[in-house]
Parts: sequence; structure tokens; C-alpha cells
Amino acid sequence: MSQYEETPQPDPSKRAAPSAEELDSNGSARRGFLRKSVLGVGGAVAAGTAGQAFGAETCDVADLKLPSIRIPADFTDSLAESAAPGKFEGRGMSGAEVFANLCLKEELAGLFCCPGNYTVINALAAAGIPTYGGRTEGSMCAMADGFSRATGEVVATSGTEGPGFTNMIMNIAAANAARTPLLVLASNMTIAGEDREAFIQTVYQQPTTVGMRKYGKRLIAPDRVHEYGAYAFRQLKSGVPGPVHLDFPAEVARARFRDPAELKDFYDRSQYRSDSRSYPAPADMKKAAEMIHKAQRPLIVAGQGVFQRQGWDALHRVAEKNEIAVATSGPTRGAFPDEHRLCVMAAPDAMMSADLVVFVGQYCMPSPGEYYFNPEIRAIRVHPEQEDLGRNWPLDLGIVSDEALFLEALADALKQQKRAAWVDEIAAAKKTFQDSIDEVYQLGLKYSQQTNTLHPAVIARETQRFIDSGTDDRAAIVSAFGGWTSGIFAGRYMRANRPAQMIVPAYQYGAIGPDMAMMMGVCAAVQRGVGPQKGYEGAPTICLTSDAGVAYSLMELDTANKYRLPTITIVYNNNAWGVWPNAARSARSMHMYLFQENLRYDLLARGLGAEGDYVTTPEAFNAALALAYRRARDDKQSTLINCQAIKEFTSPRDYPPGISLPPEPGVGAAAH
Amino acid sequence: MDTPQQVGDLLQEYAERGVFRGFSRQRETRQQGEFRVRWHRDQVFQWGYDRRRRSLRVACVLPAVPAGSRMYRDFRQWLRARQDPTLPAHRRYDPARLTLRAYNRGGDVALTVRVLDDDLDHGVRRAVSLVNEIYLDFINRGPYFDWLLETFDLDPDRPS
Repeated sequence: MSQYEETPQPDPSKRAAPSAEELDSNGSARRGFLRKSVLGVGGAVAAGTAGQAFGAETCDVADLKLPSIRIPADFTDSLAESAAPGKFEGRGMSGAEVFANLCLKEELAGLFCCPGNYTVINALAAAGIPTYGGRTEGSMCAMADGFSRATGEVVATSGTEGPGFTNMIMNIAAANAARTPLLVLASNMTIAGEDREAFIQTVYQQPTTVGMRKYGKRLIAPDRVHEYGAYAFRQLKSGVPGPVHLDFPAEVARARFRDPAELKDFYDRSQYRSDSRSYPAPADMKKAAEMIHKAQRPLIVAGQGVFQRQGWDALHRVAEKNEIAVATSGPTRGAFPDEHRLCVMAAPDAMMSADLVVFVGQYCMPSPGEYYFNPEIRAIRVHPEQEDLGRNWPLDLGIVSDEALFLEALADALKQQKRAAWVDEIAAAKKTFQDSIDEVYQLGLKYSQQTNTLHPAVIARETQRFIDSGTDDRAAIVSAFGGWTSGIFAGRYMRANRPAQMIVPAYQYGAIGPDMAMMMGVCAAVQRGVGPQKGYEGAPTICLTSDAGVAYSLMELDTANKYRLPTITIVYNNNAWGVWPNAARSARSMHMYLFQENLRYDLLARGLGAEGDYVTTPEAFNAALALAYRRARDDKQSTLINCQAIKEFTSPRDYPPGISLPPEPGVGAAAH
Repeated sequence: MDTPQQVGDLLQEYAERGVFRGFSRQRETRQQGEFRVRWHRDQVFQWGYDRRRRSLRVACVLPAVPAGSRMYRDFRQWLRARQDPTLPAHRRYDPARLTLRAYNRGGDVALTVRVLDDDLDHGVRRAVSLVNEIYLDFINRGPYFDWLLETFDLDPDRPS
């Protein structure tokens, strides 16, 4: 137990909600409660520089002199330590170090964990892999998933044997639904103690992740640790990605190796896996080009595979060359810009007009009727694995191919073609959609005024407006939306205009909760400029989520703050689970759906070393957003903006239009 | 050709393409045909064709919509808008070729599509398209989320 955990905290109820004027005038004047470092620890992570000295030792609150929340020197000193990968010489390498060195060679992009599985996480940190330690294994798993969604890279998460591992389950499943190349690591007692329930934490891990992983293995032969590491990365980096779960009994993690000959199959990655990709068959390409030329209103749905294979430039070339409409799908948005003239993400009427769809890298396949298409539409599907072609969606043509290679081949195969009527129809459909959401926004403004709370349409539209016009570089901000009511509204208003500019935390699995933590992982990727986040280092992330969702991740504000990950979290606080209308038909049930009203998540954020603001009007919200951005940009400070709402905004009867699911594919899509 | 068998063949084509999740031909005479289609919301829709009237009928295209309700008014208005001359030709239900009508019997909304020209193929395809749009566009565009859950007894976490 550290001294900080025992520090008495001020009475939160004595802090008044900030007015717009207060927020506008001087945010720092209200920050006496906390003292922060000027330079970010995130910078230290990236640059390997030493940690910084921190501010005042104490602060005065209600006549009490309290120790300030601060980042311990040991923390920053630790981040500044040089890497020291294991070697055969001297004491030799542990099994964990052998595995860590393999991860290093495979360019594992990061590890997000809680303590536990000590031998392995310490070895990974020592090897030089960027590591982050947090408060709950579930949230750290979500951070890892977020990092990967924002970059396409393989990322690891880890927890201790039973409790830590099982805490991760929801977010392993979410990663599986999103096809995230997530390496799940956990310690698992000893082989010698198998079945004896020796001491604590015994659990059979591997059966637990069946159904939510691509590959899993309990390592039981110490001299095969490298071999199974190779198994893991072969799965993580080949075909359709997905989580890989390895559990390490102590005999494996702590085994010692002083000579390479003591390890089986100890050879380089060039020999244990291949980067070869499938190329589309010429006959298939010819037929696909014919079908596209014959179509009047063709549409490409660019799925997760286009992002994973970084096929966005080829996608752009194909679309422009032949004036093909594009929608994107998957947990990562922006592979094709929403604002592009050929993008139909915010033009559902145009999608309904398409007469040919080309699914490229759509890993999570909908069924007819789930996408906003007409019944006459013909379908081509391009997928790296033959056995998935024809699943759920009947095809007119199936093509086995790597997604990027297919798009490059298609760009060559297609003739230049103009489709003026189709382009005009897309533009008209965009206007119709924009008019419809503008109308809902105006209603939201009216309801906000009537109730002195914030309608979700107002929060969403103002957030996107701020990203577009209130930031230094609108392309730099990665955003996400989650929660039930908040997510349904936000999706319609928020936009992605470059690869991985938006994450869909709820994608397919629909977990309400990982959003905030997931965006901290995204923020780590942005701060380090990994993959498509290169060039945006230092920019904050913005997550719009709900009061139900935030409960799962809130403690990780401690993690964000200590690593100087500048996150902005907007909480739609409607005092209830968004699905509360289900209790309307069962009077004795309502209590199960409700929280205390007017909860102060902003004060919890402050108590964790971040900033927090409580707002009830559009003006105060806009001011809070601007202030949060400045804090994030200038001080690497995270902020939680608590937007007070009422649950009845969900109701179409009380506040029409209430909620309705957005058409898919499109902005707001979360199922496929 | 404008026979019930032709209508059945056209509908069967949608089933074979996987648009419908299920299909069966119930009765076909020289003048009339009856067909069952498993489709949106996992419902079984009863389709009928009357050769004499050149009319396709879906007996209950929307359940639990009372005649005096706002939803029914909205539906009729939405149906009229499908024939708006400003719609692109491929989206428009051309009033010179098709008549669209809704009837309400005890909350069950029936839909009829009357084919005014010789092109029965076009009429059937547009009728299929219209039912599709009712479920993907009309229901999702309006304030009918609660209706959707109640009518189809859906879990709100899995409303599709």
C-alpha cells in the first residue's frame, strides 16, 4: 500500500460545478487540488528520457494541508531504464526471456498489463518492449486492443493466473469479435501442482478462451517455449487476425537456458512463418472487372482486412479510377475518408441504390437484410481464406486474395470510368442524411434548453464540430463512441477522415465498458506515432461514452495520467443503463436499471489525478471541451467531462425521435 | 406472361439467391397464387397474386400498427413518397406502372402492388424491393425502436 492510497481526499461535494465562464477564463486556477508535471511521462516513454520532477508537495483544501497526488520518482526512473534483453551468457536466459526476445524480434508493439505473470512481464519490459501497467486486467486488455485497433500491430496483454486472467475475459472476447491480433499472456501456477489446488488461483485457462480466440496453448515443455512463441506469432501475423492465448506455468517461465542447443526449434522467424500473401487469380480478376464495368452503381465495402493490410491507398485509386462508391466497416474507421465525394458512410439512400457490392476484407460478415442494400444487389467477396467465402452472404463471385493485393490488381484491371449520375446521387443522399441529423440536433438543442441538461445529439455534434474547427489539426484527433444511447447518437455525427481516425469500441461484441480504456491504448499509439498514427504524436484522443460504460474503465485515469496519455472522455450521464425502457413493462424491475442521479464522475476523475468538469448546457460543454483540449495538448493532462442528461432522452414518446439503430454499413455502424 | 407460376418463379429466384431465408409455393391456379416467404425479422410473409387484378398482396407486411396510430399515418405518407418524381428512376415506384396501397385490418397492415403495365417481372421485383425498404428504411428512420422491440419480442441488445 503506498502513501498515496492512504491519503485522505477532500469532500467532493464541496466543489461546485464549473460554469462556462469559469471554464473559459482560466482552467488552471481551479486546479490547486492537483499538481502536475509540465512534461509528459508519455514523452519519457517514447524518448526514453528521465522522468521529471513534480510540483508542490502539498495542496490546501478546506483548510487541510494534504499531500498532492503525484507520480512517484520510482515510476519515472523505471521508465528511463535502458533495455537489457536476456542472454545465454552468465546466468543464462529464463524461458520468459527466451519468449520476450522472440517478441522483440517480432516487433511486439506493446504490453498492457497488471502485475502478475511476473517472470514474463518483467522479461518483456527488460527486453525493451514498451510496457504499461494499470489498475485492472480487463481494462489493460482493452487498452491493448485499442492500441492494436489504432495501428494494426500485434499487442500483448497480461494478468496473473486465475483472477487477473478471468478479469480480462470480456475484453478478450471483444478483441476476438474485432479480429484483433492480441497476444493474451497469463501465468498459470506449476505443472507439478496440476490438479492439487495448491495454494491459490488455480484455474484451467485454455478452456475458458475457447470460442474467443484464434489459437491457444498452455506451455508445458520448457524447451519448446520458443517453438510455441513461433506458433503464436504465426497465428497473429497470418491470415485473419485474432487473439492468441498462451499460459505459462512456472516451470516454463523460470526454466534456465545457457545454450541455444537446449531449446527446440530455436530458429529465426523467416523460417517459422512466411509473409507470403495470396494473389487473386487472373480469371477471377477478369470477371470482377467485368461485373464492375457492367454495374451502374457499384459499391466497395472495405472491411477490417483493408485496414489490417494497409490497403487504403489502393482503395483510393480503385474508387477514383472507376468512380466506385465506398463504405468502410470494422472496428477501425477512416480507411476511406468520410468526407470523400465517393464515400457513402453518411449516405444511406445511396447504399440502397447500389447494384453491385464488393466486400473486401469484411471479416465479420453480415447476412442479407442486415446491410442497407436492395434485394437486387449482386455480390463479390474478397477474403484471404477460401473457407469463409459464401458464409452468411450468398455470392456471385468469391475471390481468395490478400486485400491490399486485390485492390492493387483491381486498380490495374479497371478502366477509367465516369459515373456522373451515381456521383450526383451520392451527393444528394449525403445532403438528405445531413439534413436529417441536423434536424435531430435542432430538436436536441430545444430539449437541452427545456431540461437544462445535455441531449446526446448535441453532445455528439458539438464534439465533431470541435474536432473540425477547434483543434490545431483535425486529422490528429482519434475519436471513439460508445455506450448505448450515447453511442447510437454519436455514430451519426462523428467522422473519420484518415486511416484509424476512429475506433468503434463496441464493434460486433457490443461490450458497454471498454471504451474509455480502449481509447487510452489508442492514445498510447498516438503518442508514440505507431503505424497510421505517425505524424500525430502528442495529439489527444476523444472518447464519447456513457455513465454505464465509464464505470468499467474509470480507474484507469490513474494509468493515463501517470503515463501522460492525454485522453478526453465525454460521459453522457443519464443516470441509468441506456436500456432502462425494458423496465417500463415491469414496474418492479426499474430499480435494477437506475443509478443515483447526478453522479459526479468528474470528481472521481480529479481524485485520480486527472481533470474533471461537470456541464449541463451546450455552452458549458463547448467551453469544457476547449479547456480539456488545451490541458491535453499543453500538459498531457486527461479530462473527463461529465455531461448531465436525463434518461428520458432515449424515449421516442417523450423526446422524439428517441433512439433508432443507424443503417449499416455507415457512420454509427457497430454490428458488422 | 403474367401467370401465378411466373410470380412464384421470380420469388423463388430470391430464395435461391439467399435474399429470402425461406420460401414455399402454397397454391397456384390459373388465376391465383399463394406463396410463403421467410424474411425480415424472421417473419413468414404471405404473398398472394391475383392475375385478374394483376395485383400482388402481402397480407401482413407490418403487424401491430393500429389504423389510427401515428405510425400508420407515417407509413402511408412514406409509401406515397416512394412514388415521388424526384427519386432516381431505379428507386422510384413509378405511378404510371405501379399502384401502391396499404390496408389496415385490426392492426395488420396489408400491402398491395398493382401492376399497371405488361411487365410483371418489374412489378414483382419492385414489390420485393418495397418490402425490403419498409424494414430497412421506414422502420429504422422513424421513432419505432420501442415498437420494434415489443412487436417482435426482441432483446434490445440484439434488435436486428
